[in-house]
Amino acid sequence: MRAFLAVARREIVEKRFVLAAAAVASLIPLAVPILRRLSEGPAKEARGLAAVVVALLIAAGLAVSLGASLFAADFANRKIGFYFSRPISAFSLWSGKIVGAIALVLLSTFVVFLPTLLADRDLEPLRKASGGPAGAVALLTGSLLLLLALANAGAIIVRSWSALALADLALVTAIGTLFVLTLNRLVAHSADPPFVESRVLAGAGVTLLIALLAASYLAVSLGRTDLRAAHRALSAAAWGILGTAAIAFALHAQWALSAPPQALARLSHARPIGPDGWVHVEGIARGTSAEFLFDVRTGEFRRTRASRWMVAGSGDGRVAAWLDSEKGYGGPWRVRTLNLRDPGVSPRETKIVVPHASSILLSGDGARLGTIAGGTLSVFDLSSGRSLLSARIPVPDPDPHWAAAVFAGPSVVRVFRGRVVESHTKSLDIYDLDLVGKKWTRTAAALDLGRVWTTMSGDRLIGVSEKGGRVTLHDGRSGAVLSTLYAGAPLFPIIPRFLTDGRIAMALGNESGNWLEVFSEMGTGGRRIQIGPGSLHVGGEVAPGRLALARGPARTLEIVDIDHGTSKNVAEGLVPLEDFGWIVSLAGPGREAAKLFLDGEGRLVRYDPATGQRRILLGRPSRD
Amino acid sequence: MISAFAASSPLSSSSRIAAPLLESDAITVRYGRSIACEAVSFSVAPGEVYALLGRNGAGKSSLVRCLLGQQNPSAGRARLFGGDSWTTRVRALERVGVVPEEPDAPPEMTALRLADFCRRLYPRWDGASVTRRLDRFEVPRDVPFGRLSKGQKCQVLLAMALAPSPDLLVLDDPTLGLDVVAREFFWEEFLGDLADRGTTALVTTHDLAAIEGIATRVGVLKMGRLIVDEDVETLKGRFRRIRYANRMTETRTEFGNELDAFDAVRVRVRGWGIDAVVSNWDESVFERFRLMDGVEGAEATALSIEEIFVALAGEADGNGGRT
Repeated sequence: MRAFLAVARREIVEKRFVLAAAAVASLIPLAVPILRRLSEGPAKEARGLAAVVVALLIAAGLAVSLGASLFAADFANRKIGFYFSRPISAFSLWSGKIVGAIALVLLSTFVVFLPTLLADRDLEPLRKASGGPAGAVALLTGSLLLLLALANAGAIIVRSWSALALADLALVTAIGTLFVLTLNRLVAHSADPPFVESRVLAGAGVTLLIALLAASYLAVSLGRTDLRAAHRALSAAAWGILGTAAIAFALHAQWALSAPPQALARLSHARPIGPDGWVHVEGIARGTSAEFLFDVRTGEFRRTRASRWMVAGSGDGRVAAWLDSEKGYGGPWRVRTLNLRDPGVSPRETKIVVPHASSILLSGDGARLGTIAGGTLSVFDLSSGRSLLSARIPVPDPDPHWAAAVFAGPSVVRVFRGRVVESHTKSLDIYDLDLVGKKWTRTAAALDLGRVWTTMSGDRLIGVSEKGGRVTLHDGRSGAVLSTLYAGAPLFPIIPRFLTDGRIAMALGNESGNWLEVFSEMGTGGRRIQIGPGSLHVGGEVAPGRLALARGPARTLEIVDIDHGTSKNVAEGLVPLEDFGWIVSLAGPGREAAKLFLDGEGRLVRYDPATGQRRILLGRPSRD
Repeated sequence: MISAFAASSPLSSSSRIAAPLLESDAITVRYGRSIACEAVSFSVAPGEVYALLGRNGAGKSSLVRCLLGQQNPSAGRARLFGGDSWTTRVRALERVGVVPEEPDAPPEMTALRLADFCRRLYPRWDGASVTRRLDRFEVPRDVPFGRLSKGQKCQVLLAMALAPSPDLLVLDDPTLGLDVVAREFFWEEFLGDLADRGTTALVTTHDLAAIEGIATRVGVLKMGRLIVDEDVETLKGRFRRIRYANRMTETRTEFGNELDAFDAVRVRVRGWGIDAVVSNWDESVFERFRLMDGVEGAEATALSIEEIFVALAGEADGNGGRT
């Protein structure tokens, strides 16, 4: 410890002149607002920004210059023998010099900030940094240490100037290439590329720092007064650690990317793709986010790179289509399809590549695909990959809006456009796009609807008024009110379902409890069935006229017999896989999709109310 | 018979009972394909002043670095106070004072700063001795080390080396490049410490005249091999210069086999006769030699260490020393 302190102190005293340079540089931020003649508010902002810029430049420059002169020069002119002929351990020498140098860099950075801090009693950019001032200081220290270690290693290699430097060059190229290729591969297969990229880069930074620090220590410890020996130790340690890490990273990526859906620890999302048992599942498998199309009947699966919003199934359950990212994230996106009826077939890569998309839609027969991106609807023929049409969705007013669409027929796309005011949908317009005539027709305008649900073909529409006190059934094309399903005090929740026989079931609730209202196809003859209290999740028809729903914190699964008006608790802790968004297209009675649930631990469960059989399909039990 | 000294078998080694403070056990140092020293073995016992001699490039500094744990030998082991120099260097160096060949202290440090830095490293630091010596040497205390003269640098480093009251001093050619006065100052100070504390020392130097009265034991490195490792008195007792004229041969400038009774390290033919250095001096053998036919005017004189070193190290390998 005595030796460490002596060396660190000497390092600081020897190079204390950098503090004077930093003190001079600290005046620059104070001068910036004066030179630009800024008023008090902008002046403070400019000072803060200038202080951060100047401090970072000074810190980076110092880290590089101090790192380059840390050991290399002493090795080269054998001045390092001064330390090694005294009772100073290699560790004390190494750590003392490193700590002394980084302390000087940090002190200089603080000196640059100091006048601005005194002037403004605040340093906004630092305060606003992600992770707060402590996080910013930790990140800065780590980054500067990395720069210092890099400069030190580089200087030793250059000063040694041996043939080993060529090996260094070859190894850094090989390891760097392996790392970048692996990272690209991992990012390209990830559902959350920015997260993966930032996590991997942070890990790489830490690994690089550890490798360089370990290598520089071994260079001092094993090289001592011999520069060539120091270079050999440095190279062996650095490339040994980094090479091992890069290979381990590549092997990890290979292992992670070959994970089957069975490796999903907890599903973050699951959605039926068609009625027959194919589901799209998302979760974390082997430490990376993973998405699969998974057939619950056979266990077959295909890995995708599509987020949950970019997968669609055709109404006939024959085709799934999705958008796979081509380069990780930010597009472009390649459309791939899978014949769900032919399990052995691999996904087909279409010629369709779109720069971006906010949603996709698939025709009932799976022959055509539509994408909506930036207010433009594009339609493609899936088999040929040909673009059939690309048209701007009409915008009759300047308000922001959302748009969603369904295939109303083979040649008609129905677009529902909601006008948004202060984050709330105020009214709804309906447009039909004739793919043959390439013509927009506004079929309904300014419907007073805040939330809507439609059938998969868009022929009927259930809407809730913006205030929530009125629920109406509309003709999906004209928007004409077919019947009023509820009018009165605002209710919560309101969850309608179009049943496969045409009837409508609507789960409603208020502070006194929940109930189910059952209507005819045209919305007449409401009949109330009382159900238990608690939050509701409404699923599909597990059998004709039998609707599954989960309620309450225990997620009690109830099967409601719509024909007899009875309800029965059959299981605990199961939530039906609900169709996403506003299109209600749940599976027909008795089909596989209606028997799929997520349990409280995020596992995909098949439950058959008829037999009471419950089987976990995906996800692992928690360790608790 | 005339023979060169075998590299692997130093001339002799008197038995020393006390455990050595410093030991070179078959040390070999290689730099790529070149060999700085090869299988060098010797030891420095307590109280000895061991002079390790050798020409430039003989491998002295490499050996010293290995002995101080600054460099890992390619083969063999270096020991300091019985422990491996490479692995137990730090504890051992608390008892060692070192003056390097090249003054290596940080150039921006003044003598006072240097003393302050070193003070923190040694458990037995004698600060007053540093002050005394700096005063005696008239070394300015506030001038950075880099701006001192070569002699002053050397004196500062000697002051630092002696301040921790070391049990062992290692001086690696400390007077290299110093003028006569500075050398005199240096050796005086060193001798003073030896007299006061009986310090053990390993000294490599080219200043052989100065080491003559100081060294108790001598090792000679020649082309990386230790060819002599012996007490000074024994060494000096074994070596003599023999000068004579040879009347038996056809011409005065040739010589015959009259020197076969000696191990001749170096033989030179001069205008007046033969000038030979022998390493196995024996009075009775010399008496018989003088009476040999043709040997005329034979006389033997004792040699200084410097002369012995020149005779041993000054000749190329392999020709038996004949010129």
